[in-house]
Amino acid sequence: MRNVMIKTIFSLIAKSIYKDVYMLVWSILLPMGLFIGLSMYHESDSYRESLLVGCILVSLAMGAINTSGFWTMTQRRRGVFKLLKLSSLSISQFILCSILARLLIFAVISASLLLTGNLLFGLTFRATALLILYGLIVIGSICFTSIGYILAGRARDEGMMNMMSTLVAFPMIFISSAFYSLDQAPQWIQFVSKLNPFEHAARIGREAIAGAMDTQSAIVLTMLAFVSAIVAVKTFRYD
Amino acid sequence: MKTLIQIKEAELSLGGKKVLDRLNLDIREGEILAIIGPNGAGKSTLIDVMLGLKKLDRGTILRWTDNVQGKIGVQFQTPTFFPGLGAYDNVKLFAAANGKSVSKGEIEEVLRQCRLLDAAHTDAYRLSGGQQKRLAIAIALVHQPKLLILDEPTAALDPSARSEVKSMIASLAEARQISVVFTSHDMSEVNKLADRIAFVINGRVSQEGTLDELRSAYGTDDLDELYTLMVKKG
Repeated sequence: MRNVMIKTIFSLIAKSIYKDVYMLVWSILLPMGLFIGLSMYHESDSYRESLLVGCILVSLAMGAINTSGFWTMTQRRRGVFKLLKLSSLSISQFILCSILARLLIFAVISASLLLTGNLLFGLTFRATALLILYGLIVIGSICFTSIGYILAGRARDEGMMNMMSTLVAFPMIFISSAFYSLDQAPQWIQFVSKLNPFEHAARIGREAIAGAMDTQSAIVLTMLAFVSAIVAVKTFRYD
Repeated sequence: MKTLIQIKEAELSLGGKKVLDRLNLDIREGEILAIIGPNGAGKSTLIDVMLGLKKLDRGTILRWTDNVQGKIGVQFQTPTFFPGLGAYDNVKLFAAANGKSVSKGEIEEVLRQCRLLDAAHTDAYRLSGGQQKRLAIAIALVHQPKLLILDEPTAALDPSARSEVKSMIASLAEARQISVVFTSHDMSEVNKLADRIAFVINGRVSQEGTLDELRSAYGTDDLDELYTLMVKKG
């Protein structure tokens, strides 16, 4: 009975998120355009592979932080969470359903990006690489969606949410080695990048292309995901 | 008649302003109670207190059950739905959130009762104002609550939509045998629906009784005059 209830809520939240215009822009159009646009000007397969992984991570982070933040903010303002508070559904169950729904959508978007890479530029990945990439999408979804919830808990309105998500998401992407090396970056940037979940996701993704696992980054990202999820549940606001 | 909710000497301040001031009120099983009063009188805050969404500074609130989650149906002033979902899916989602697995037939029956079957798959936010109010009531009813709370169910509706919602509430309360509490400014709505009236002003219940009792106490049959006299008395 409980499982049926969770399954129904999960599938309907996924349906609701799927129609979200923010998701279309941040998670599909932006990364797809970035990948196709840059790949047309770089003929190196290794660059295109790294770019593809970087674009999958941008899709994941921007979608999870911006989209889930805005979605949460809007639902709260409309009073949806007040209704949920009066229901039998707990906050952790609701957040779990939302994360799983987003995870499903990110998995489909990532598959579309991988397929685009294959059809347009002939990129292929080994089974081990795909397995690691999908593991990364699971942990990354939990981590970045939780960060979106935390920000939505602090924001008073959509304008503030926009500012906060931009101030968090863009530096996370720029202070990482997803699109360029940080070897020549100042010491403090290298230090900050060690605390940056996006940098650890980028490292895991880069190693995954070679069919290897960056265990250290995987442990750090899993810990950050766990902590973010707990903070998201603790700081969740109904109104 | 069994008491479902008993509020005694309730006091609550929000932002330094006292919104509930030694308020006393009983909600009884099987009745339709109208909470009326001017804007800012404390009606919506009173509803939040009944629902457990706001805690009292002083006073007590006793409910028939320790855990009201899933046992009260509520429609807030602004209808609230999940975006991107139709009426049918919204009803299904909130039923599941209340721990109730409902069949397609059960959802369609609730939508039929709320006269929404034709709009079952229309996006909830694309429905008309009257349809949105009726959908909010369908969502509040689908898990078969013991108590239905409606915050200004006919506010901002045109006369024909208002009339539809009013007759729907009356027939639902009768058919489902549930207690209903609703807030309103509309005395004709109160006249049509309510068994009992609680007049709230300055954060307390200043008058309470049936419409006939209040009419006789104020010596008038004119509903608007009765409302004005109760406001003046405060």
